[in-house]
Amino acid sequence: MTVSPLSKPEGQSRRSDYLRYLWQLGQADLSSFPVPPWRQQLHHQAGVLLQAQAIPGPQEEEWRATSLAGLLELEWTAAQAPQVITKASPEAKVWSGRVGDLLAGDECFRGLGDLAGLGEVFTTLNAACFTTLTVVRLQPGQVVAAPVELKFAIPPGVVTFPRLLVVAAAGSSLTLLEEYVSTGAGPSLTLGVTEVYLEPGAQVSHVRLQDQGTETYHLGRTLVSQAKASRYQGCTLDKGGQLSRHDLTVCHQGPAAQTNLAGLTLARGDQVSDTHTAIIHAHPQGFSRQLHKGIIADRAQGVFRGKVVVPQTGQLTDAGQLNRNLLLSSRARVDTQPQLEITADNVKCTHGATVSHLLEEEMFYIQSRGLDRLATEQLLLRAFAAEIIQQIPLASRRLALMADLTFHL
Amino acid sequence: MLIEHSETILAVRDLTASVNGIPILNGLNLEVKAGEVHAIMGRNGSGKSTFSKVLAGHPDYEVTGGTLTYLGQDLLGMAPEQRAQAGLFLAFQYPLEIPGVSNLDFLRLACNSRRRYLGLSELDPLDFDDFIQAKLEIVEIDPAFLQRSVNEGFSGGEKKRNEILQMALLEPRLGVLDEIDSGLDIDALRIVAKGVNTLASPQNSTIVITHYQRLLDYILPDYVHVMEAGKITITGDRSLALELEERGYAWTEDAPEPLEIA
Repeated sequence: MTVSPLSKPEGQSRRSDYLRYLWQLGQADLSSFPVPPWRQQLHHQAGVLLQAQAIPGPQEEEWRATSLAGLLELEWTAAQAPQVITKASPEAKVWSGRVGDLLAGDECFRGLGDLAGLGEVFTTLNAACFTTLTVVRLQPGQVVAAPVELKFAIPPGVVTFPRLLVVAAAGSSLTLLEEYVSTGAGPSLTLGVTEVYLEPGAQVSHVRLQDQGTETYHLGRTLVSQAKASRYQGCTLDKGGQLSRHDLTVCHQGPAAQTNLAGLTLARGDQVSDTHTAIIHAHPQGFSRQLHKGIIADRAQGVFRGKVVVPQTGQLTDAGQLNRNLLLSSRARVDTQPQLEITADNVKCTHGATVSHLLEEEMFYIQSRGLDRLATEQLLLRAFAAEIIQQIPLASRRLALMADLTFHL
Repeated sequence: MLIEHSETILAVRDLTASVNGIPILNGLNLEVKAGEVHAIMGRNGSGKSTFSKVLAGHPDYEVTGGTLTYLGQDLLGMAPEQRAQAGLFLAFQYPLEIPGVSNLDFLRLACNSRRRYLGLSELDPLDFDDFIQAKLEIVEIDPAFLQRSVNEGFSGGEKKRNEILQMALLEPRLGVLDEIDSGLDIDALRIVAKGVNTLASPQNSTIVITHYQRLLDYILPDYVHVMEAGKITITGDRSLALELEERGYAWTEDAPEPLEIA
């Protein structure tokens, strides 16, 4: 049974109806295959919560800068699992498939949902609806040298619920590429959840590339848990989507964890690209550095909300955050808001945000050396973007992304 | 060096220019021929730097009258990059820092844009490496500077040497050095001056803009011009610079018309 939400008037009831519409699409897909009991239980719990929830509106703090009103106009043919294209060495033991194919008591999915607890509406919706699962699980001390590459390919016309679980056991090391692409033109809706666990001393370098079509809606959440002395290096690039939203939360669950986040938002046309991050330094001697950059062209809109939380238990935390934005047209917009919530008294925390245009003096200096205006602009923009792209630990991707970086101003 | 019947590189006639509607240049005349070194001196605010920016084509400086001819071409119709490609080089008083752009890449792009104009083959990174080694010696720059971002974190002296390195790579017909001596200690000044002198030839010419006579101990000008209120009021030879050093600029205000002392 499917209800069309489109005839409903704007407002709270329309947003709750639209959520139920998405949920029913997901249920229809889930019921077409056998589902193991653990999955049924999660599905049920999520379903109870969804009864009281709705697609968030502008009055909700987390969605103040980004409107989902356009989403409520869209209808989907079905919910469909993403195609997951995996490239990994056999030692990496990547499991990807239908949840029904997992055996009861299988260790594989242990930890699933612990981090992405239910509550937030899209996490809950994903929990209620995902039908396939991708798991990367490293053994203690295992070092996987070759990067694990996961490409989530999403067809037009559907709503999809990607779900990824990464568990890096104590002392293990992994480089992971998580990539979202569209297989054709036209709108689609991606509601993904990724959970990454770093056990004591684990090291994970995690690259997330979102390059879906410009008519798509992409709402993704990444949740990272870091145990004692683990190191997480996150590099994100968001360049696709009519509306793209990425929520990244990193929580230190043990002392002396290190986090390094680098992010780049590229938005043009009438794209809206929103990044919300939170780093929670709940244990002492944590370290984090974050650099998020945005290049916003045309009539596009960029949003960055970066939260750094240091509760009383986070003494001797060293946290630094910087958000830099370049606006390439007079109609481009950026909404940036660093947010420090510090209770501990012996910490070092810095933050900053800049919004600027290309500087005429820089342009003139370069032009006076013989480069024309277009080449000068490209040189400056590439330099601005390169600071993030150079941090991607996959040489081939780095080169391809740099080669692909052209801006039509 | 003065050479008889040499080619005119730059001819400026009755040039007037303004910034934000405020007139800065008020009828400037100057002729520079191949092989010559000209020094333009003058107090702060006399229009020296404005003249250099106008020559290079800075968009904030509006030319309101007169003519500006470079190698027979009307400079006013040329974009800044076209002027650079045609061999007009401005060494900036305050070279800009460009984070994220490697000095080596920047120098190669600049060099190749000039080479394209001259009909020479472009240099690939390997060829350019060879090409630049000899130039580095002229300004005594450590090759490690090539790997850094353009001017980022460079000291004042390093920035100025990087400007002369760019000049060495671009091999201009007209080099305009805007206060190249500002912020330099005596050793850096010697290196920069040596670089400028090494690059001088009977085919090209140099305009040195400075406050102080000191630079002219190292870069010997054929002509010294005094600029006042946006025009050249006195022209002389090197001795004029020495006289200015001794007497200051005040006496030059009494000069009613441009004087030819040379």
